[in-house]
Amino acid sequence: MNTSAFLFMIITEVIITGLTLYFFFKVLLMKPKVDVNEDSYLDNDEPETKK
Amino acid sequence: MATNNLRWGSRIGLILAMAGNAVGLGNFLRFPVQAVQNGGGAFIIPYLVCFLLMGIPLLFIEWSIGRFGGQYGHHTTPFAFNRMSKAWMWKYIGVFGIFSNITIAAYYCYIESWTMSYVYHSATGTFSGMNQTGVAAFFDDYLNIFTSTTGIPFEAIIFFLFCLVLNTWVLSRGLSGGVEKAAKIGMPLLIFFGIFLAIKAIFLKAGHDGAINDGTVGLNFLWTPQYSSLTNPKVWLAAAGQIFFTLSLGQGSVQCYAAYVKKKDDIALNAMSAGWMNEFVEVVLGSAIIIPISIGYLGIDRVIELTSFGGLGLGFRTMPFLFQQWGPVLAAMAGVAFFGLLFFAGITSSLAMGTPVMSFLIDEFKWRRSRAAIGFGVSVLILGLPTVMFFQKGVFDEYDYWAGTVSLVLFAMFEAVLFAWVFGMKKGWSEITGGADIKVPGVFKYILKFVTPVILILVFVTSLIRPANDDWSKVSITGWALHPESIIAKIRNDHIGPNQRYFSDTFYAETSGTVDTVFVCENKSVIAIKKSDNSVKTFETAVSNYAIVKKGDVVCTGDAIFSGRFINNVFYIDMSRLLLVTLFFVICCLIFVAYRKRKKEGTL
Repeated sequence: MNTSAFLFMIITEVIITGLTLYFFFKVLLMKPKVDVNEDSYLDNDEPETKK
Repeated sequence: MATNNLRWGSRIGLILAMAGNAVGLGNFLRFPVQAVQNGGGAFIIPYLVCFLLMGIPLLFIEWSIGRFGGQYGHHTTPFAFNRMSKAWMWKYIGVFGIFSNITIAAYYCYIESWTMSYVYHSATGTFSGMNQTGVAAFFDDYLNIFTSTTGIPFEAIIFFLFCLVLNTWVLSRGLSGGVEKAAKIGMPLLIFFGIFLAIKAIFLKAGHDGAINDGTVGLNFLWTPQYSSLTNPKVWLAAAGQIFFTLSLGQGSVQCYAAYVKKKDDIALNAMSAGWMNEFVEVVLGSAIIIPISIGYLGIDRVIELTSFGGLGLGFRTMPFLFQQWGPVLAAMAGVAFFGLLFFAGITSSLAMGTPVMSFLIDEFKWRRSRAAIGFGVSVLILGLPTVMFFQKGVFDEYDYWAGTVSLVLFAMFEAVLFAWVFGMKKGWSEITGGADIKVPGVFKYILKFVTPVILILVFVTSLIRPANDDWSKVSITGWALHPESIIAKIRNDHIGPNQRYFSDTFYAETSGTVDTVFVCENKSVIAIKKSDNSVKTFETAVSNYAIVKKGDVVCTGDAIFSGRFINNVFYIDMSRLLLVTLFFVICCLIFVAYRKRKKEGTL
């Protein structure tokens, strides 16, 4: 591979992979909102209110 | 009476489903081909610019419209749009958000069924010992519904039906129990298969297993920047088009998924996470599979020639042959991984197409979930059968062009204007940032208001009047020749060639060249014409029709070559357009009925 192609590929892929992981882990590590009575997700419901 | 009680199970499930909606066959088959045809590495620059100026803003718009409509019990675009503006036409513009999904699903499920069939054939070793011509012929035989490659009669239809039943079943299980579970299984498997194939492709060595080039030759070809192509409008249009397809924008499925997110929950971070996940699959994995492998075995010139027929041809006509070079065990594994990857990419997208249709039936007509899923399945079957039966007559391409291309651009253009200018940026911005888990940069307020709508209008206008050979210097006030793929040329059927009558007793040559072969085999008469660039164009017809040229004759476009009775492709093309227009009006009528009903109930 020539240098410009290699650098172009590496820079693009590192940026895209980095941003993908950053946003994904931000979601993964985000705690469910406690002040919301009922959020959008079944898994966060109290066991007795799960449908 | 059923109410819409669909819900997401978890936030990760929603993001994987949304990413699965975006990740489709195009990530692996269309993106690398577009990159090759538009300057290799230089394509990435306009592509990423379009992602920032059009892709991300449209993701914000679609997630916001979805969540906004969902608060009022509107999970599809017609009534979500009606909430945003009371002007009568918006709900009918919103019809595109249902129409595109049914129509795209109709032909998309067919391609999905090919991938399912090719997983089976790869695992059972069907391609073992076949040469490249044999693998290409296998694909043509598969598309001919009267030819069976497995001994099962009407194999293509059987696989299509099986695929449709699977989609319907998953949809009938709801969001958390069906769509989300499919995404949680499909997306990790897809990434795993993708990484396996990318490693195989990158470490391909010239001289091993029949490879003529290293895998890095393909990567070099794809990633070498050609900055001169940055000034070419064609490259920018191709990049903008790819962003549309890859993110499933302008389709109505993003809005539908987001409609099940509650007002205080985040959409901004979710949109970014799902959007960038799609980019990872497309740019990092999609660029590292078919181009490095095919260039490794076939060379750059041959691959450029093959990409002119699109990514589907390269994927289904060539890849199974190339995998055979790795020996029977690895070939089977690679075939299952490649077509399995395409299958998971396909099904997570087709499920996203089914959800708006189901939600519409549940919201407006109080159908039960399972009944609504069957309603979607039956609609797709009715609409999809013409694409299966008349694939080679151009029906598939017509669906793809009008529903999978033009409708998306048109719809996205209208929704960007609605969001930024009619609904208003003040309300729009508070919708985007409400409950957000990230700080959305303020510059997007201006991009959403000025840049994105202008880009979309430009994309639509240029698609309308695209000049022949993409030579924009020929555009003048006195007129210019149109590209056969421009909207105006398509409406005029400029691409059809000399066989413009529905029914005729003579078939005219659609290309110039020398007659290479004339023969009759099985149940068809065939004429092959060799063009000046040495490529061969084949014309086939029923055996009852006979050739009126012989080997060695020189023919020009428009010369008679067959005599007999013909139903020309233009008949099938116009009938498929009529079907699509009828479908659009049927959905408009349903919206009118639902609107009257809601008005009476006071739920508008």
